[in-house]
Parts: sequence; structure tokens; C-alpha cells
Amino acid sequence: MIEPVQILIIHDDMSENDPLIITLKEKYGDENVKLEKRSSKGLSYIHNHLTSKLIVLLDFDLGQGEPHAPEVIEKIREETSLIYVIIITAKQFSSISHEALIKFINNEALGIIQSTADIKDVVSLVDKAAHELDTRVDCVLEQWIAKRPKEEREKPYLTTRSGETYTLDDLIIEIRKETELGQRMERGILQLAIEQLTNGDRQL
Amino acid sequence: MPDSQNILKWRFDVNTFRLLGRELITDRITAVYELVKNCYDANAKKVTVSFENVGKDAEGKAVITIEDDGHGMSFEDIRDKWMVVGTASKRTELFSPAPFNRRYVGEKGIGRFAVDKLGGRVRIITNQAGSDKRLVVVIDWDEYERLSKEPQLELFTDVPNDFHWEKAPVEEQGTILEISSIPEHEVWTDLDIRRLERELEKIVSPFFPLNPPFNIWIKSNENKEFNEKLIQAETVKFSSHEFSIGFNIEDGVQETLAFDKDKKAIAIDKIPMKSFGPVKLHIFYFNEKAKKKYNAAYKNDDYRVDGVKIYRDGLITTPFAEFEQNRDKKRDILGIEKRRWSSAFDKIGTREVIGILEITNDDNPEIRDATNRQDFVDCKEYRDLKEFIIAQLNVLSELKKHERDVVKEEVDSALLKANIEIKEFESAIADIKRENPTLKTALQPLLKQAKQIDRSLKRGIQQQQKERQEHVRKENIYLSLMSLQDYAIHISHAVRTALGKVKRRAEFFKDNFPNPKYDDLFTDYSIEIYEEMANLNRIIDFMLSYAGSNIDMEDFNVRDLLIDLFERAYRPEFEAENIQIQVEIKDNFIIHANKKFFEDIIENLISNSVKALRNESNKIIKCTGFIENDHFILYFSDNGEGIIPGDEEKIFEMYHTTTADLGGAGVGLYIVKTRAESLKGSISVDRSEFAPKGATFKISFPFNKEI
Repeated sequence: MIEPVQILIIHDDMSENDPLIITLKEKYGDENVKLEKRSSKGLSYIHNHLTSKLIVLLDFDLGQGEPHAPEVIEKIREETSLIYVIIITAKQFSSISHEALIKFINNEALGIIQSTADIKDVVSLVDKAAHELDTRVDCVLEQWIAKRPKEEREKPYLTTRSGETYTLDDLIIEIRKETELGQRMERGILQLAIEQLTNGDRQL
Repeated sequence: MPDSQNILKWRFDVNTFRLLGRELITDRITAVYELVKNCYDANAKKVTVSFENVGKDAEGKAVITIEDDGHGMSFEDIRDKWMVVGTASKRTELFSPAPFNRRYVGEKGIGRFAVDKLGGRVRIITNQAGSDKRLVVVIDWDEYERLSKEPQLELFTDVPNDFHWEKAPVEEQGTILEISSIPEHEVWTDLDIRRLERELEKIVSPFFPLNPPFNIWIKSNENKEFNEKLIQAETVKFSSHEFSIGFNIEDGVQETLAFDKDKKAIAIDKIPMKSFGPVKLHIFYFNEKAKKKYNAAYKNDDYRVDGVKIYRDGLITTPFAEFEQNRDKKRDILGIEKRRWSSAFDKIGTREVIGILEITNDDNPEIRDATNRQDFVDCKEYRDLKEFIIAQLNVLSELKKHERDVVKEEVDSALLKANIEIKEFESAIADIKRENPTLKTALQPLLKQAKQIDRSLKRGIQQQQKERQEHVRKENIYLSLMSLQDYAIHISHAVRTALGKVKRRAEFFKDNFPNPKYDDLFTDYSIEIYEEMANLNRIIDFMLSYAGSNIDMEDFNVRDLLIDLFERAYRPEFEAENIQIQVEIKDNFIIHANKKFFEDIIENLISNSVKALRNESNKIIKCTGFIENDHFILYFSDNGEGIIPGDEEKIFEMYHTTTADLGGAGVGLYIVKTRAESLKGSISVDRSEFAPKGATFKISFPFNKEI
């Protein structure tokens, strides 16, 4: 079973029955769309789902005492760069401080959208994020692994020079956590794929 | 390993020197400042910045020299550190060796390129303690400039720079930067040098003397004032008040300023340590009188009274030394002036205080410089620190307000006294006249004049009272308008959020209706759209209440108004909801305020309580009012579902609601709070009168009998 994309909405002024949430649930499955009104709780959810395929829809102002979007995205990036973040705001774009915008860009927000935008525009940004999640090395690898029999997945697949062994499932986690091994694997896989593509008989 | 044929390397065009020097350093004063900071890092005890022939008749003979007695540099230091861009050697160690223990300030290793901003050629003469020779390196930026214009590619790293050795006394140590080839148009006027002095005098905290010292001298052969002048922060003169707060790490206690309302003076309170760690603050306040004295002495040049500066381990961190002559353009990173704009007249601004806030690297690790050196990194701790500073200034504001009141009283009583004295004078003359009728003619003009003075005085007193009323009226209008700017931001946010909600629901209808699967949602959405529109309406009404005559003040009887609201206007609603009312307004008095705002407060509190009581069987709303000192206090309570602990502050935010199911938009208590503030009052959550159930709000308005 391939892990589905999960969507976390961090918004202090949205209800569970909001049409945006209903539309997203319709498309991505009820159990895969979650609303968190407090950003601190949202952050701990993210912390516990670092290896999931996660898209975060993040409101800008999140109430007194709660970290606001620029801080939230910074905290997310301290842990992982694999989660896609889309900012939603009722603020006039021109009134967003430069510091906040710099934080969004430097911390790779996938998009920023006004709270009065059409649902379909928000959904299309989410779709874009979902597509990127699906075409990433870790996700494609996961799809491939998912097709292997259980015993193959559980047996050591790779042994490092220092003697540590990794199963296929372990490797996905290494890639998602962006460990040194994970990054090396990712590069290797891409290089190999390109070599295959250019050397082979050009059939996908 | 890739074939050496197949690799590419970065190279730097000769233009790099410009990027690192004149284009990165914003102005000449900052350039000198950066170089002086390098001397600090070299453990210098003395730095001399000399200007020779830099005036307008210099004819190209201008030289600027920066000489220090620091540890100097070896050939290796120059080759492997000084001349390597971005050397990180300083970054691996945070502090220089004992006895200096200075925290390195030139962290990025580019300050040395500041010389390019000052002149086209630099001679570096350096020697280390114990060495009998000094190293002389010549860097000719003019040559770099020439090469950068050549058509062929010249690399920054390929330009040769000459060096040689000279004999030197063994006891000599330190570094001299001799900058020449200064463009003729870049004259350093006396004013420029004085500006430099002002910036340099702020480098070291006046209250955290460095040991060993770091003394900076300025020398100029063209200006007698700078014959050989030690730069030191001038002792603060003329301030009217001076306060100093500290901390106690063992007890986890931070000191803070507090205004003692009984003693009408500033006291020092102890509070638990804040998130940003312990800080010391030395603050000088200049009241109006002091400011006048100050301006007379310094001829209105008020650059020294420049707000709060932050020093880390004795060295300035902010405001960062970027020279800006126009004070209004200075960056207000602590948000002191912004807050003034958005609030009242009694607030303290940067031109009324000199504050020295001391932090240390060890105790306040979360207060970090932003990489652009223009602020600190935004984080909770820094925000808390800013709040702390503002809180200190707010205490000074209360002092300022108190002093203004005292002056008002003094003037009033002096006028009154003068009036009485004139009366006494008149009756004394009348007595003399009666006793000595012969003097009548002689005394007549005197009496006439006394009467005239009496009339003028009375007119003066009347005029003064009228002016004061007019002033209060204008101040009130102005205050409302200023808050309007804040409201505009809130309201546009509120309107957009409401519109977004309505629009998404409408869009859902448009895309999905009819569809039996969503029938329940359609019903919900239509109700929500209706309620959201009603909220929008309320928001717009609230906004419009600022338009037209509504901001005028009027006299009204508070008791009558409250009784009218509770027993007449809201009676039908209370009866329908089966709510019992207890209204006890002890004092009967008239206040001069905006009646509409006052009504808004009560109406919104009532509507808030009605919602909170929805699941209660025995519903009570209680309102108690009385005068306490110079405030009118109102307690407003209900025995409803109460406030979730921890939400006491949050409930006043716009859009905070716990009654969304009843169409609560979270606007009501926001209106209550902003209205109360517009009337110069305050609102807070008190212990519930109906505890463990219910909620009690305490609202306090200043009550000035004179108005």
C-alpha cells in the first residue's frame, strides 16, 4: 500500500465543515485532511509525521501566543525540507513585512494565496504540491518498494562501509530525513536513472 | 575522483574588491567604524584615527591613519588570514584571550575592505610584540580599479600586492592602516569628523567600562578641536530622572520599572526572569523642562537623546552604526516611535530618553544579530525583549502624565492666587482711601489699574479653561483618528476573512448544487453565509461609527445610561431569554466622554453574556459601578460558561470566538476593548463573582472631575 498524501491545515479561523476542507477531503480522502487551529499543535503534528508525504496549508496570523506563519515555516525547515508549505492570508500582500516574505522564500514556501481566493485555486496549488511529492525520488522509490514482497522489504538491502545495514524501508526514511546517506542514495538513484534512460533502448 | 580536466573552479573578477568594499559599506563613517572594530578585535587598548589634510584645500595630500596598539599581525596572519576573503578564524573562537576576554565583533571577515571606501591606496604597517621588524604591505586599490577597466579578464586573486620588512623597536606592537589617494571631492569637513566622533563615542557602553580599556582618539591637523581628542561618551547632562534596573540570577529575578500610583513616583519592582534572560537597563528621562535646558545647552542638536541602545558585553550592537543624519529616517528597530504613533500623547518617544540596555552573550544567547546587521533575529525572546523595553517606557509615560497634571495644577493655583492677591490689593487701597480721603485723587489711577488687572486675570483664567477644554476635545478627536489607522488594518483583515468564508460557501453552492449528498452542508452553509453577512454588517457599522459626529464628546449621567440600557433597551431580550438582572450603580455622576462608545461597550458585553448563558438554567447578569480614587470602575459579570483558563488575553482579539455556533464572530469583545481604550480606559478579566462558573470583566475609566 503506497502512503497517501496528507494535508494539514493550520488555521485558527476555519471550521471543520469549511468548503475548502470538504473539497480537499473529497479529493484526498477524509482521513488524509486534518485541521489544526493552533500552530503549536500543528508543529507537533508535523514533528510526529516527518516521514509522511505531507502538505501544509498555513494561515498567516495564528492568534496571540501562537507562532505565526513566518516562524512556523522556519521551525518546519529546521526539521525537514520535504514538507510542502502553502501560505494562506487575509493580509494585503503589500502589507506583509519584507522580513516575513524573505522567510517564506528562504524557507521554500511553495505558494502564497489570498484567503479570498477561489477554492479551485487553492486546490490546484495543493495538487501541484501533491504532484511534486509523487515524483520525488523517495516517493517513487516507495512506490517501487510497495510492489516488492514483504520478505524482500525486510531483508538487509545495503551495508555501509561502517558495517550498518539498511532495509529498503530504512532507506526511504534516510532519504526523507536527508541524512548524509539519504542524500547520497538520492543522487545515486537519479544518476543511475538518467544513465539507464540515455544508454538503454529509450523505452520507458 | 573526476579527471582534473573535467573540473571547473570559481574565480573572482577583479571587480570583487568593489563589491566587498565601497558597495557593501554604506558610508564613510561606517567604514571607519568597521576598521575601529577590527582594532577592538586585535585587543587594542588605544586606537588613533588621524585625519591629515582632508579639508577642501588638501590637493590630493589627504591621509587617514588608523593606528592601534593591538597584537599586530605576522606575515602568516596577513597572508593566510587578513588577505583571505571571509576568513573564519575569528568565528571558531568567540572571545579573545585573557585579560581582554573581548567578544569578537568582526565576525564576517570583510570589515577590512572598508578601507576601499575611504581611499585608493592603503599601507598596512604591522608588527607583533617581541619582533624587531615590522611588515609593510601596500594595497593599491587604484590599480585594481584600473585593471577592472581592462578588456581582458583580470582575477581579483591574481593582482600582486607589494610588501617589505623594516626594522622596528622590539617593544613596538600594533597595526597602522595608512589610507591615501583619497579622491579630492571626498573632503572630510569638521562636521563629518564630529559625526564620526558621535558614532565612535557610542561603541563602548558608558556603564560597562572595559578592562583593559578601549580608548579611541581622533586627531586632525586642520581642526584644533581635534588636536588630540579622546572620544568618550559624554556624561549624560540635564536629564530630569535617572533609573537603573538589574537582576539576580540566583533568585531568578529581573527588576522592572513600575509607577507607584500612591507615591506618584517610579519604583523598582521584581518580576520573574524573562525568556530573553537577565538584562540591565540604565535609563535617563528628559522631561519638558530638562529638554529645554538640554536644547539651550546643545543648541537644539539632540542627537544624544536617541532612545534605547543595546550593548552586548559592553559593545554596541544596535542601533547599528550606519550614519543617518535625518532623525526621522533612522531605523526604529525597537518599534518605539511606531507605538507612539498608534497611541496616546503621553507616550515616551526616542527623543526623550537615553537608554543603555546591557545584554551578554552568555546570559542572553537567543538575542542574536541578524546577518544584515540591521536588527536582531526575530524570535520569541527578541519580541519579549522589545516588549520589556516598551513596558519600561510606558512607566515613564505615566510619570510624564503625572508631571503634566502637576504643572496644570500649579498654573491653576498660581492664577487663582494672583486673583486673590489683586482682590486684597484693591481692598487695601480702598481702606487707605477711606482713612485718608485726601489721597483719593492720587489713589484713583492705582485702583483703576488694579481693577483692570483683575478683569484681565479673570479673562485669562476663563480663556485658559476654554483652551484646555478645546485641547482635550482636539486630543480626543485626534486619538480616535489615530486609532482609526490601527482599526483600518484590523478591519480590512476582518472584512477579507469574512468575505473569504462567504465566498468559499457560495463557490461550493455554485459548483455542487443540487446534490443530495451535500444537503446538510447546503443548509449549514446558507445559515453561515447569513450570519457572516450580519457580522460584516456589524464590522462596517463599527467602522462607520468613527465617521461624522459620533466622535464628539458629551456630558452624560453614567447611572442613567446604564439603567436605561438594562431596564429599557434590553428588557425584552432579557425577558425572552429568562435572564435576571442585577444593576447596582453606587455613585451618581456625570462624565464627559463619547456616549456612543460607552454604549457600544455595554451592548457588546451584554450580547457576549447572553451567548455565554445559553446552556444555563438560572441565568444572571450583574453590573456594579462605583468611583474609586479618580477612576470609575465597572464590574460586569454573568454566571455563564466562563472563560477557558489561559484565554484571558486572547478573548479580546478580533476573531477569537467560542460561540461560532451562535454566530459569534469574535468581534464583540474586540470592540469592547478598543472602545474602552478610545475612552482612555482599560478592560481586564477578573476572578468570576459567580466562581466556579461565569465570568467577570473589570472596566476602568479615568474620571476627571475637572472635565
